[in-house]
Amino acid sequence: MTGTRRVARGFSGKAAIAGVGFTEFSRNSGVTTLTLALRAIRAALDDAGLPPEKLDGIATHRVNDSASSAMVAQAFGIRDLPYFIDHFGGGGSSHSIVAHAAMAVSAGVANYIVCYRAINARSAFRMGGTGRGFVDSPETQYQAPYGYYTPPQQYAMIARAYMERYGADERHFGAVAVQQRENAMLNDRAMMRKPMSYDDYLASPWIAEPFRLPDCCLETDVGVAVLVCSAERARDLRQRPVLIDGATWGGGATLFSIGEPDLNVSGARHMAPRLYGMAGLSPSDVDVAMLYDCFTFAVLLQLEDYGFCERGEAGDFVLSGATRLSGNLPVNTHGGFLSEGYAHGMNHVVEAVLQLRGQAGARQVSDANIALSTGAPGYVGGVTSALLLRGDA
Amino acid sequence: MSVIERPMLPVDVDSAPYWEAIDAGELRIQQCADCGVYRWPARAMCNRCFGFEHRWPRVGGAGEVVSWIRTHRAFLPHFADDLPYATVAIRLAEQDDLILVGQLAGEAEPVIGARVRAVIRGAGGGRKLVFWEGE
Repeated sequence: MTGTRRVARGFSGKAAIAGVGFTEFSRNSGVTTLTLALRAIRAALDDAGLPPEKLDGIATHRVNDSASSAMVAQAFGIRDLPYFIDHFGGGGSSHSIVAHAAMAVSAGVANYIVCYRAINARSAFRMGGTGRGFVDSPETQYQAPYGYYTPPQQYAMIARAYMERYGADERHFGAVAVQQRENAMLNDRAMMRKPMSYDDYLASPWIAEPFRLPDCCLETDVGVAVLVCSAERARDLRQRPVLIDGATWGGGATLFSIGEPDLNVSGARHMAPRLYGMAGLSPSDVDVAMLYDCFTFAVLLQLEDYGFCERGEAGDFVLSGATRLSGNLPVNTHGGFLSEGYAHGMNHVVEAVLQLRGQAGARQVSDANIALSTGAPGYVGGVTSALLLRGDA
Repeated sequence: MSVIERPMLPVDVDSAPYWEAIDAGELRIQQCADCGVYRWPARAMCNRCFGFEHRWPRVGGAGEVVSWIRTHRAFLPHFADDLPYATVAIRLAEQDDLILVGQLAGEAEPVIGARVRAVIRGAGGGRKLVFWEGE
């Protein structure tokens, strides 16, 4: 792995996730993003057993598509909010807000910070321009005239280069989609619970070659929230605390900027040593992984970026069954964005917490104690973030 | 490739010289006047030497296909009658991290590693774009 090996333990283990909550995953919520946020936050507070009056910090990330922290504060009757962050950004920033909250409670700035993502990403605000204007980014003026504009196209371009370089093919992409569907069939909140075989995968329509429809994440209306507080405070609440042992930020160069000549190197690859270093862990310690699966291919790349296999080997790793529920490293046990739904990253954090609390029902990984949960790897948006979580003793 | 009305977006101040050159039939890429590194997309400051000075030299137009995709959905309505269509990523000979998204000039399926050369063609609406043809 490349990257600066700065091993800073920082706030490792000082903060915990004490509660999780979510709304229904749907194609049309029929309510505002504020309502989604409030429902998810109330569910997270109820899960933790924390009275709403105790809430004193609000964190969210958004791309001008969702209710702000101020709107949520007003809804909770808060007149003096000790901590907030309205983080601009999509999937690369999803885990960042949990990291910010952990840092803030560790510094004593606030006691109980809720992190939420609330989107009507199917009914109102679809990624890639449908339902809104063009994204304000210097690259788009050079790309849209060629009909190149949306996330599936952007990731497909990287995926093709990877296939050519390492001999990966549709068997590897299909295995990710099929395995995650198998997991979703064990998850009551998942949107896609119909069985899907590899033949079904092959028979599905192209979106942007080399991606077929099941290679692409769902578009979802949903709110998801997690409650972050100090480890000590979490131990006084209802659920088994999940400690935030590693929380890092990374990224910079993208597919579209100069500075990274290798199409198959993401910000996550540079960041991963810092994440493991902060937590004092290595890839072999990870019991279950929620890897940002905007597309099947992103799972393959992150299996390599986060050190579970060598470059070019992720496809065979998945085909071997290692990432199945019964394998050594179960991945996206809820079905991921491909089959559970797309909450832009926060639903990965929730599933990691449920696994570490032993509350994942039929898809529970036995003896899960360490979980990796990742944001978008940084190819397109430029930034990335991830968490290493541990069940409290 | 059919001539369709393409979505030409607003041009930012830094990139205006690129588009003016394209309309004049020339491929010019912004280059740091201090250290010679090309900047893509055009930006105010060099990300190697941090200098602000720059120039806009013509580049040779030689490149290599590093990846490609074929789009089957009309994500942009302008392309609805042109589906499916291929888009390529081209690495320019001048610098190994200088990678441009574009399209081939002909109908042939792109091949990774193929050497290509820039050609500037009309893109509808009185505008021009750079395309890539096999050497």
